[in-house]
Order: sequence, then C-alpha cells, then structure tokens
Amino acid sequence: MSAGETNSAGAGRIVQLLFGIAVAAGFLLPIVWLVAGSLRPGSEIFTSLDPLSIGSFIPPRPTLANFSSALGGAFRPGLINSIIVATCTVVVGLLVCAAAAFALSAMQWRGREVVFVIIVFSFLVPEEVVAVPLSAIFARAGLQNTYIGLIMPFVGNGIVIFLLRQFFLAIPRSLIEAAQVDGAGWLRIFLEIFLPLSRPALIAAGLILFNGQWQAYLWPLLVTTREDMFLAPITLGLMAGQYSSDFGQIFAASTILSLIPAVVLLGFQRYFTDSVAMAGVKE
Amino acid sequence: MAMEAATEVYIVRAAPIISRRPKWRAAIAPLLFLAPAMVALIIFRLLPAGWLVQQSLSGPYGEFVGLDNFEFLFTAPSFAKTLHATLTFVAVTVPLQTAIAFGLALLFAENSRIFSSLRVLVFLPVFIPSSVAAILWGAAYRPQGLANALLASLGVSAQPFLSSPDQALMSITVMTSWIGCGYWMMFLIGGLKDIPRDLYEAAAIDGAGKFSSLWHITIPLMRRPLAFVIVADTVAAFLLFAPIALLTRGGPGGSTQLVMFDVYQQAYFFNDLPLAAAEGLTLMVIMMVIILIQFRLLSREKQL
Repeated sequence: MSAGETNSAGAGRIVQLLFGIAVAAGFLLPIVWLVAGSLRPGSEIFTSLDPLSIGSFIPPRPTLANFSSALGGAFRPGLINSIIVATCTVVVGLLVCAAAAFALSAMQWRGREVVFVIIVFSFLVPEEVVAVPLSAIFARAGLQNTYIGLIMPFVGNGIVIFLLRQFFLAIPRSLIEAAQVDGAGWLRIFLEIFLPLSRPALIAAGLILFNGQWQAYLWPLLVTTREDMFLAPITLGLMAGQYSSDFGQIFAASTILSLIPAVVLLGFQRYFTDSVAMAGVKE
Repeated sequence: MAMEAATEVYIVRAAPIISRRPKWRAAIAPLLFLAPAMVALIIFRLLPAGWLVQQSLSGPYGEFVGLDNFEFLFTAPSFAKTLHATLTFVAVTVPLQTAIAFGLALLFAENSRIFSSLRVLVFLPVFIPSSVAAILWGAAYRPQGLANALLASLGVSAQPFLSSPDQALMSITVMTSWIGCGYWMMFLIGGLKDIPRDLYEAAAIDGAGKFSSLWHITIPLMRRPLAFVIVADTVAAFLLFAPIALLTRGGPGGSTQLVMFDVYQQAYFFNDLPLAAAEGLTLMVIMMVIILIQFRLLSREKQL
C-alpha cells in the first residue's frame, strides 16, 4: 500500500470518527437535558435554554431537591407498585417459561415441535390488540386494581420460551440420563440440573420480562382505576398532565424511571461472565 | 404447582422399583410442565382474541349483528381520518427509521473501543420507558423547549411542533425514531458482521469502489436482517400508543389520531366495545396484509 493511500484512508477514518461522535452526541442530548433538568430548580428548566449554552446542559448549582419532592409525593406509591409488579413478573414469568421450555426441550414426546411452534406464534399476537377485550374480562373477574391483574398478562412470553429452549437444547442429554439412573424425577432434573446450568440464559430472559413490564403503558392504564394501584408511568403521565406541572419533579421522576432498567442491566451484566465460567467448570 | 410437585416426588420414589412406568404417566409429565404457559396462552391471548371476534359481530346488547360494525366503521368519516393518519405515519416512519438505522449500522459497525462506546450512546434511548420518552419530548417540543432552542441557535424561527396539525405527526415520528433507531441498528450490525470479509477484498481487487461494494455486496446480503427490521418496525408503528395518549390525544384536528388510540377511545370514552373490537380486528388484518406484502416483495428480490 502506498503512502498516499494510507493517508486518505486515515483522513476518511477521522471524518467517520467525527461524524460518529456528532451523531452519538445528538442521540445523547435529550438524555443529558433530562438529567440536567432533574438536578436544577424546575423554574430554570426552560429559562436556561435561552440562550442555548453549556449551562443549559450542566446545571451550575445542582440540587437533589426535585428527587426528594418527587419521592415524597404521588410518584412514590407508583414507583413502589412498579418495582413490586416488575419483580413478580420476572420471578413468575421465569418459572412459567422455563417449565414450558423444559417440556419442549429436555423431554421427548410426540407432537413436541408442533406445540412449540403454536406456543411461540400465539404469543406473537400483539398484547396491545387483545388488551381492550382482556381488560373487559379482567373487570368482570374482579381483577381490576390488583397486582395479579397487572402481573399475569406478562408472565407468558413466546420470545423467552424460545430463548430458554435454545439454551436447554444445548445441555447434554447424558446429564439427564445420569440423573435418571440415580432415580431423579423430571422436577428434580429441572430444578437441580437445568435451572442452575442456565443462569446466563435465565438472566437474559429475566431482563426481557422485566423490560416488557417496565415499558408497559397501555395495560396498566386499562387495568387500574384506583390511584393507589397506579404504576409509575401512569403516575408520571398524571404529573405531566396537571394544569400547573412542576417540571423539576417530572424530570426527576423520569430520570428515576429510566435509571432503574439501566442499573438492573449493569448489575446483572457481571453475572453473565461469572456463570458462563461456572457452567464451563461444571460440564 | 403443588400438584405437579406431588406427582413428581411420587415418580422419583417409584422409578427404581417399577422398571416400566405406566404410559400415561410418561405422557402427563410434559403436560404438567407446559400447563402454566398453556393456561397463560389461553387466558391472555386466545380467549380475548376470540372475544374480540365475537364482540365485533355483536350489537350494543350483545345480539348478533353480522358485519354491521364493520360497515359502520368503513362508512364513518372519522375512521377514514384515523386510517389516513395511521397509514401516513407507518409509511413515513418505517422507511425513515430503517434507512437511519442502516446508516447508523454502517457508521458504528466497527469493533474498535471508541466505536463500540459511541454505539452504546446511540442505543441508550432504548432503555427509556415509552412514557418517559413521550413526556421528555413533550417538554422538548414546548414553545420554549429544547427543540426550539436548538433551532434558534441555528437561526431558524420557532416552530409549533405538536400544536400544529401539519407538524404534529412528523414530530411524533422524530420522537419514535430517537427511541427506535438505535435498537434497529443493533440487529443490522449483527447482520453486517455475518458478511464474509473476503467478499469485500475480492471486490476491491476487481476495482470496486466503496459505493459499488455497498450496493452489490452489503445491501443484497443484508436482506434478511433488513426484512426483520422493516416488519418489526411496521408492527411497532401500527401499535404506537403511549406518546399519543400522553401528548396529543389525537389532536390537533385529528392529525395524530392513530388507530390504537382510537380503539382505546372507542372502548373507554364512548363505551362502544363492539366498535372498538371491530376496529382492533381491522387493525390486525391491515397489519398482517402489509407484512405479507413486505415478505413477498423482499423474497422476490432474491430471485433477481
């Protein structure tokens, strides 16, 4: 390669890099504005934009006052409800989906593949389309304003069943056979061999279930009517819809709602590598 | 669950003694493991889907009225407006987001440390819940908000955004693109990495330039991931709800009356469940037809 070619390739790379930085900064800008707004008095959120300066995105005197007033107000019960509902969704959803994936991978029976395809495709029917009739059914069954009503529609998930089944299929059959020789039943094989070996897949599946519940807006809106059962996104919507909205509190509440999935993801990322290494030892 | 456990313990104890388990017991074990998911499937998907069909064929007192609801729907000018807004939104949003996501994928596919950290920044909005994104952009679109401040710094006069019938739908498109493009980019980067490097080397030896190899190698080999993104984005665009419910409530002048919000309004504000059901079913059918057409078009190109 001649010196000229290397130079032009280098220049192209610098242009690509600068362009990439500009694009990434553009995507990041609203988030920076959100976090900055949550750390400054609500009255300054819009006034600090005129004129646009570095101070619009870095509050000169940051304060946590918005967070304490948001967590002291109506947002707190909503946040607590959201955390309870999302946690239960992950736990129950993992059990339901892992059990189904186990039956569809470890066990061998006629019609297995057909049932698998039916399950995955049925769960592809968008939840939004059936939400309105389902909420009418739930209202008749007395499940409005209950945690069960908020949790249950999210525990069955076709993608999660698919993902876990893929992982289970890779677990060697010899492990099942050895356990069966030792007299273990299917439930023990499931709880003591498959679940412990599948930690990385279970964490990935749990994150999908968590995100599905945390992102939900339509279903919690349809199935709750009492303020004490509202989830955080509904409470946030009410805060923003008020006649005199306090944007400081709204931005603080929004920051908390966005930070929690990021913290959950980062917190579990460590276990991904851990458990893959552990599974390798166990094999 | 308790019953399942009891049966299993019984099998555990019986297994060493009885060499051949009864056939029905071998058949029932998978059923027990599948039962919770099957119950969830029936109660939360199939039952309401059946109810949707039944409701759409019923009158206000539950009597069978045939296709009356659909006839009413398709002659109502309000539904024509909803359909127009929804199809416009999908037709603008999906190609725009796919193109941007493809551009982002080409820009950020490189595996160096700097590019993978930049990629994370573009992906970051995916973590923001849809309700938060709606409220954040609603604040940014206010007259004194971030959007106008950015325009002012470029010397552009203030725009009305969500309060203008001409700009509201496009403003929603920009907002959903901010959330979605990084997400779709990740799928496309996955596809780009599957393209064998030696194809590009061979093309370079033959004297192909960057654009030529993009057109003749990258795009044809990216058909599958692109098809996935287009179809998934189409579904997401049809089902958009939270930003409409939180920001525009269909306005101004019905310009953002997208179909999911219209279904919700029919059911909860006008209490017309049969009409809401008919509309929900129509949405499903239109969505499926468009997806089928997309599949046909994308697989036909393969034969060229």
